[in-house]
Amino acid sequence: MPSLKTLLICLTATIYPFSAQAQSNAPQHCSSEPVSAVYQVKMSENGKKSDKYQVELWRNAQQVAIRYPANAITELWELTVNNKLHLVRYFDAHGRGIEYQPNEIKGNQDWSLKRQLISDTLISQMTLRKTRGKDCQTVEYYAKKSDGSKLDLQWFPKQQLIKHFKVKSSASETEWTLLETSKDAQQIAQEFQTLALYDTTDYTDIGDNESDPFLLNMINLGFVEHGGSGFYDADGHDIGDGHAHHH
Amino acid sequence: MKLKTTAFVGALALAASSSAFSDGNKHDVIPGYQKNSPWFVDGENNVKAKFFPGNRKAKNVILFVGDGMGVSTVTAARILEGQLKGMMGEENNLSFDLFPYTGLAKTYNVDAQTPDSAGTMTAMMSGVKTDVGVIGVNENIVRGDCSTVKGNELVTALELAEIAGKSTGIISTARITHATPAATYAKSADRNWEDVSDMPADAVAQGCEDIASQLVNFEGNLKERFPKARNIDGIEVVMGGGRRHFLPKDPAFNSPDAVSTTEGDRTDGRNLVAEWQTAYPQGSYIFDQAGFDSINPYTTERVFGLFNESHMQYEADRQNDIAGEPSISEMTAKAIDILDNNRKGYFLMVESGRIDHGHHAGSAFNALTDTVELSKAVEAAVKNVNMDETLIIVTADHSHVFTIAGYPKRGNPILGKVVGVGSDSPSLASDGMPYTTLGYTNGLGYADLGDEADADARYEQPIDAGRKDLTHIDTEASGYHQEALVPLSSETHAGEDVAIYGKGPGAHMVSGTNEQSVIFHVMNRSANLEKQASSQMNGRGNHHDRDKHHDRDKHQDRDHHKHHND
Repeated sequence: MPSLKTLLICLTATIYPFSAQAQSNAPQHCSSEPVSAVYQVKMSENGKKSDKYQVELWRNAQQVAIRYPANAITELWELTVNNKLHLVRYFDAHGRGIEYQPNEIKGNQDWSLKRQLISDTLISQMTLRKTRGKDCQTVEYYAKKSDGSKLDLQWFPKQQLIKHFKVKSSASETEWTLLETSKDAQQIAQEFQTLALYDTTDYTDIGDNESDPFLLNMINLGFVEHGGSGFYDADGHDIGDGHAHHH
Repeated sequence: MKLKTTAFVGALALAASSSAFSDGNKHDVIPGYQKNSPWFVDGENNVKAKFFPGNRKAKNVILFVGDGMGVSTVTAARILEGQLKGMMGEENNLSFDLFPYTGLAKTYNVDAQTPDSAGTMTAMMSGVKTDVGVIGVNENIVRGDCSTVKGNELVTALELAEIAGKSTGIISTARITHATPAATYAKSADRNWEDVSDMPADAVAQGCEDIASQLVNFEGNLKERFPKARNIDGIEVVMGGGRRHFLPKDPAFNSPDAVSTTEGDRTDGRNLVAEWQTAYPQGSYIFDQAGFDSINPYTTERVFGLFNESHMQYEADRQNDIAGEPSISEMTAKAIDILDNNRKGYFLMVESGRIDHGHHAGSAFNALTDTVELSKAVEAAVKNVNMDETLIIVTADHSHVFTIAGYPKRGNPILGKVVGVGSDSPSLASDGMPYTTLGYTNGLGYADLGDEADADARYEQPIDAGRKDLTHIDTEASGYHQEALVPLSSETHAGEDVAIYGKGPGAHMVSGTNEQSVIFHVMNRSANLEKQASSQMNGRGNHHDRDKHHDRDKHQDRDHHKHHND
């Protein structure tokens, strides 16, 4: 399995900036999958800047992988035959995954939220201000004001990708910016194959596996749990809520 | 013998050479290292002291295992079932509460004060205690070291029954490759080697076989170990979860109700379901409720049912399964109707595997409702067999840190807040807040998931241990998870004794406070498993004498006994 560093180098080498892609894409490349995208997320609270971080989106017809490189955590989402969500949370540094069965996923069941990082429902609630560009490069500009928040979205409808998204309230501001995208089917398939080779354990089974150091660590520290702010790292440290993507 | 084995046990080994089982057979069915094990000798001496020549013998043996069903779980489930029937609850009896004989089992593993299912079930099935985490091998094993398996394999009660010419069956609501069912048929240095992708490469290279493969190859493997045995014909009834371990890691092999994009986990390309179907063309492979319902037990020779990709559903959540799946009581009744087509009798192991999972998730509701369903399965068995010739044992492999506490008044809802005698309002603790009767010493702790019926939904929530204000919380709701003291991502097993309930020939031998390995000896002594197997191996039994024709008269006879058992 390639290290995260190797993976990122590989990404840098093979993924070209979206603007470059825009010059060369023919209409037949407008399909929304397979695709990978890299976003930069910036957050601030009360005018104070917080750390920037990146989120990777990997998508094929059946699966979505959302990776948080700084934390070496990747969530793999699948839509089941009865329209429920199946989640495997991978810990890239350990080459291990924890599997959650569909009935265990009680959060937002909106598949579009996983595929696009923004739900179709939310987009439909926003007002389309203008449209620019053609074909693959068509960009729709949406906005919405509610509950003291202001939302601005730049959306690639053909590719079903966020180009830019900002959520601003009186106390905080979150901004997503698309940095890179790729439609290298082979590379995307390889990424999912790499995840598939990790050892996985049903969460249900961890209580019976106290002798496994990885799982024992998890039992004692709860590092794969959603905390109040999101995730904990492999050492049990709260890694903050910077990765949240519940638009 | 490892140093960890006590001197007490070591002393028993000295007497092993004069084992009661030594009958001069040319081909011993149980190897010397197993029969001479101090655990085995101790267990044999235990039941020998309780057995009298006039005792009836059992033709059939059914072992029910409530995984994690400690005494507090039985008590709370009894009360819950009673209250669901409109009673106050405490006076209710689960079906096995009414069994005439009861004993206790000390559950510790050779290397662990608080045990796991692999070591405990190995003890129950072989008469020999072993280490935590290993399947069907003795304590000389090094967990995870394939090279230490050979020469340390233990013969199980199911294998003895198979060699003796009886029909055999295993049922579990967990994956059928999970520790408890696996300990009936497999030998593995690690309980987690459920399929080849779970094994280290060196273990595969050294020739160790994954647990799922061992299940499908059970007949061939047993014949290889016992070439003189002539009546081995494989396990007739296999029903449970765990399809992922039998299918290739290729979506082309997905079942219609797969929940993962790629259901199978096997990386060796083998389709064990297809291999089973090739080996047993007369058998029926089923994967959903419709398939289960289509099985005619009076004409079906064998069945292989894998109803879920991983574990089967909790009983309370079963209705949400994609393709539908049978309950443990339905599987038990149908299994008996298939197995009793053999006039030589049968051995059946039934595990309620998700009681344990409910507790691990901190859900008393799921643990107790699965226990109530296990009670129904036991009741179905009692009604479906001739108890004059059937030994039924109900027990647990281990307990959980699950308590019934406070001073609730009689009839107080078992899932509710403590309301004291003479009061109509919840008792308050010194922190000024109400508290529930049921609770856990450790685990994820409090969660209010409303009407959620799947305990595992708790795993998507953070740990929230300690006291909470429950004043406005419905603690009787299916989605309520009890408070826990020590914060852990998963509630743990507990180390106290578990109960053994017995009914039928030889059941009195469960009495007393026993090493858990005594359960093998009770079954063995009551049903003469070793002697019958040995007889078959040494030519004193009838050759190929299984009579599995579907005898209408026999079923009429069984129906008569059903009435008698009521």
